[in-house]
Amino acid sequence: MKGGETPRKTIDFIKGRFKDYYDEVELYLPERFGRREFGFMFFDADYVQRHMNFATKNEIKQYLVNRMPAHVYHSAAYYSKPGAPTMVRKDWLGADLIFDLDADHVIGARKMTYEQMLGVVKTETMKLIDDFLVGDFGFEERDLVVTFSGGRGYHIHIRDPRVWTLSSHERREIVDYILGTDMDEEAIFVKSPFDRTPYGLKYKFEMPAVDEVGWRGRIARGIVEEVELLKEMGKGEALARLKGFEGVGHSTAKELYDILFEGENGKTGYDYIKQGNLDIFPGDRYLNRFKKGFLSIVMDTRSGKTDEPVTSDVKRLIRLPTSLHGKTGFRVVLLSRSELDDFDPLVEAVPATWSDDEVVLKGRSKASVNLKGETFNLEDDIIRLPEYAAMFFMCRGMATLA
Amino acid sequence: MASGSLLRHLRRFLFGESGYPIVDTRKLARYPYLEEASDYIKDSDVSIPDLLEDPAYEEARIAGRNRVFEALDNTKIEDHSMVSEAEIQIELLSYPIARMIVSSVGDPFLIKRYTLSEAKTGTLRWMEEDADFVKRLAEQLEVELVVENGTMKTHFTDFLRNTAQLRSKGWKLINQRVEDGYVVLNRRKFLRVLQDALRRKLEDELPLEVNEKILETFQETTLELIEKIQERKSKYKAEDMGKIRTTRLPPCMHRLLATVQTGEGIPHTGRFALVAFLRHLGLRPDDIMRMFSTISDFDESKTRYQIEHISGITSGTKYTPPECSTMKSYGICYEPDDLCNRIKHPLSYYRIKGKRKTG
Repeated sequence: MKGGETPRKTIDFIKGRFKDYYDEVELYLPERFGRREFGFMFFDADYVQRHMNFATKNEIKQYLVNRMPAHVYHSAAYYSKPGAPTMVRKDWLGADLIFDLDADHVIGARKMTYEQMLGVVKTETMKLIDDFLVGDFGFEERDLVVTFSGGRGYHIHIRDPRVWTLSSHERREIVDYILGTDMDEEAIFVKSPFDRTPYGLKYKFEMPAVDEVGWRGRIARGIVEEVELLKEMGKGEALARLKGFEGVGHSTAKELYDILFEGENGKTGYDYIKQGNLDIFPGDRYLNRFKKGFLSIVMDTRSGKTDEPVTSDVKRLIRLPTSLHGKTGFRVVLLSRSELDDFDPLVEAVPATWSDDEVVLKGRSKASVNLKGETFNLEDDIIRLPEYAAMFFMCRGMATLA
Repeated sequence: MASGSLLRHLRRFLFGESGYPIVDTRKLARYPYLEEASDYIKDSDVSIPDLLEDPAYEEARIAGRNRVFEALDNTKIEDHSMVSEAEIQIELLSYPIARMIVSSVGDPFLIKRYTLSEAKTGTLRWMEEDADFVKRLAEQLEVELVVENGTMKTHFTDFLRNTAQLRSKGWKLINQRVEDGYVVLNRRKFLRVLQDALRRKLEDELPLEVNEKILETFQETTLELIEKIQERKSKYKAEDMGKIRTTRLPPCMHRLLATVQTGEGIPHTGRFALVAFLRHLGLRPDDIMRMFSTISDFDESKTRYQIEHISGITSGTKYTPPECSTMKSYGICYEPDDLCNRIKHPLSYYRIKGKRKTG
């Protein structure tokens, strides 16, 4: 924790509030929880308590109330003997498919505020669900358990029985699909002979149609949209953008621009592209630069983001929905896809158990957070804050009880 | 065989174009792993003791033995003559007998090699069959199949489960047409998916439990097979790796090599990486051959060709082993350690480890 050890008094305060929360919470338990391993971390111990197993909801609740853990996890996996001390003895039966998105998957997250970063991760989570999990993979919304992690991102648990027995390698294939890893470009942009001339074969270049399914359609739509953007942004800006492509200098950028937007007989290259026809370039040189440049934009913006090791680990522990995150004091909030649209973690993840009563704190550094629509600033000094804001800074290790 | 059950199987199995059921024992014999075939045998009056002892089944026992040897030698079950009803019976019964023999030996390498052979042979034969057959086969192998306007689709999880061994770019999920959870495949690719489904199923089933009687009946064949497998292993036995020190291998190569040495197959990309790596360290093609010889689908001439190709002997291009990022995207970068995080190429790992040892 930042700023050294948290004093006993502060730890006891936090634990007391966690106890109150667990006392009154309607705890969510994953399907078949009796077959899952549970794990815990504590405020005053630095080990992970693994290999725990509970038969009833009440047993878990009692454990949480009595032990007040900082972090609560359950396994994505189901076992014959979830409480056995070794993985072999547990006897793996299957596992939910898990996705984890957080700030690490956001470009430029370091320069963002916590609030902005959470917003971008939420957008990526919705894209992952809509475009890939429900879109391409056809999962039903009722098989998706979505949570705000209580920290920096979102988790998705897929409970469709068809995924249970997928191996680690097979899960990695799903991640590769989502991230766009190892796309076979030659199968996307097809060069096919269409005519024989005395000088040899004539080739035609095609790209997928915008209404195709899966990645092919996504790429086609992406290219058309990006070309359209280029058209709308005006020549100067468009040329600058084209010059950003690999191997494109000033003159090639101009030529590409003309091919795309200054066509003869009223029909421009852009019109052909909309029809899936790439046969608009005077030579492979232009085609290749066009392909490379646009494909890289499309892959950057249209691919999904998710944490690879989490998804491919079939024995992973994941936060229990409705438990508390010990480093923020936030709830791990259970959400449906439609609830996600208007979800604001900095309002809704603050436990209602935390009161507005004033708590006197000693700050360790300058920091600020926006909770329930109000901004709270921490100073390297004595400060009074409502309990829910005080809990956040204390859990973060940024303040102690004065 | 009781005529009632025979009729039941007639109806359940294939229907001729005329719409009248036709018993096609030839078909059962060609696809003995189908439920219809095992039901047929179960319901006939052949009992296991008969199969083991009765002189009437001597030819079937020999055919069963040959079936295993064909698998071991050529990774393929030959097409045997099935002109007479007697020949068909022999062919059909050779399958359960082959499984008893493989189970009596119980060697994991033999099981892998044998099941691979049945599955590979299956795919060749399925090509000739019609859509109904493929549908029933898929059903029995628990691979979902949806036929829609001439295209075949399977759920992407079934696709993944049955293509895990196929690691070329063209088989990656991202390079498939995925539509609402289903992968669209042509017939050839779908049959390839079924091949792995059959291999996995047969591998799961073996070894069967074998009693004293079975062991006794096939004792001679079993010994012959054990000897043959031993011979294979010793012919190609990995001697010392010369100047190569296994303790210096990066985790990826270590894992690939260890997998190879236990007789398990590794992905094509893994073979390429390992061979190129070992060649780069100066191992001779023959030494590398020996390491690969225990793999279940080992094919001496093919393996030699591949090794020589990668070595530049036949191709003129001496391939260098892939760098770490490529290994990662192939999915064969296993458990990278601290040193891995500081290097970009598996060869650097070997070099650095060497320096540390001596220095």
